[in-house]
Amino acid sequence: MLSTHEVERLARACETAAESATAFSRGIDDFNATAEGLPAVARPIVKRDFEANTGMNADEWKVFLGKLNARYVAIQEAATRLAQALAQGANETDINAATTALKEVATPLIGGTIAAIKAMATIEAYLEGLPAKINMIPESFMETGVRDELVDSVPAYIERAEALKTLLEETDVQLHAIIE
Amino acid sequence: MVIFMVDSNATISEVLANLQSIFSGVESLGKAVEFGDKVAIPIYQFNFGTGGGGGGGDREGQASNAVGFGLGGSIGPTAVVILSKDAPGAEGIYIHEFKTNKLGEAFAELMLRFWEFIETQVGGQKKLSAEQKEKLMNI
Repeated sequence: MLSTHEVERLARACETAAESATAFSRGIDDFNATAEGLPAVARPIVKRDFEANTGMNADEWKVFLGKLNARYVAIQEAATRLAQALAQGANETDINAATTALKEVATPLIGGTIAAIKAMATIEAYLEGLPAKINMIPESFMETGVRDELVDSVPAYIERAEALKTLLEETDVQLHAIIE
Repeated sequence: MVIFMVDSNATISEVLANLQSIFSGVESLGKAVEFGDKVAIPIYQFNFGTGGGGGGGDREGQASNAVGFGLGGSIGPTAVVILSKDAPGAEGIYIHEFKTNKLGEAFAELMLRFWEFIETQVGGQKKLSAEQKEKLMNI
């Protein structure tokens, strides 16, 4: 028996996850802007290093995060409709239809959650090692002020990656509990 | 801004000292790196215009082969100064902008290899498989 509270909790988690995906996508924008602002000699190095160590280039990350955001929004809407049906005491047919709709829209996320969690763990690990790499760039190619600013900004991106990874794990558990 | 070098046997270190003194105020001149018979000095955030000239004639009985070149510019793209050890004086100085010069592209490639070396020291992360990537794109 589905509980309204359980489905509402899923809807809220999906809303947060959608926002988290968007926030991380903005982080990719920041990365792009930073890379474009670097001297010409350092630009391809930074872009290549990012792609080699995160599995995707910045544009691919943007596509993935955009799709993840859209998927979470769709699940949140379906979960909200199901929660409303449950709260209003709708008949079994309507509840089953709302549940089926939720399952359909959640299936691609369930199938890709493990890969998404792994991707977030990969980029998080990359971000954790980034300050050491930044500090190895010769002074000739990066001013001290730029270097310090970059290093200081890294922990915030690690937090965003960790938050999205945690939300992927949480929503996966919640979806399995509701759908199965 | 013009540098004149009357002595065509001016050493590389003197040329370097001149360049350092010129750009020290804006801190845009990088450390010199030696590549065989060349010395490369990276310059960032500067846009260079160059001009050169030379003159013959005697001065106090000594032959003069004074040469000069000018630098002018503003904040802009990265460039590199290449000094040739085999050609002391102004003749051995070349300035290349990275964006428009093949040498710049080659230098960037060199730096990519340098970065790969750094990766081996710091440790790279495991890449995503094609299957994982496909799942992410179809999420």
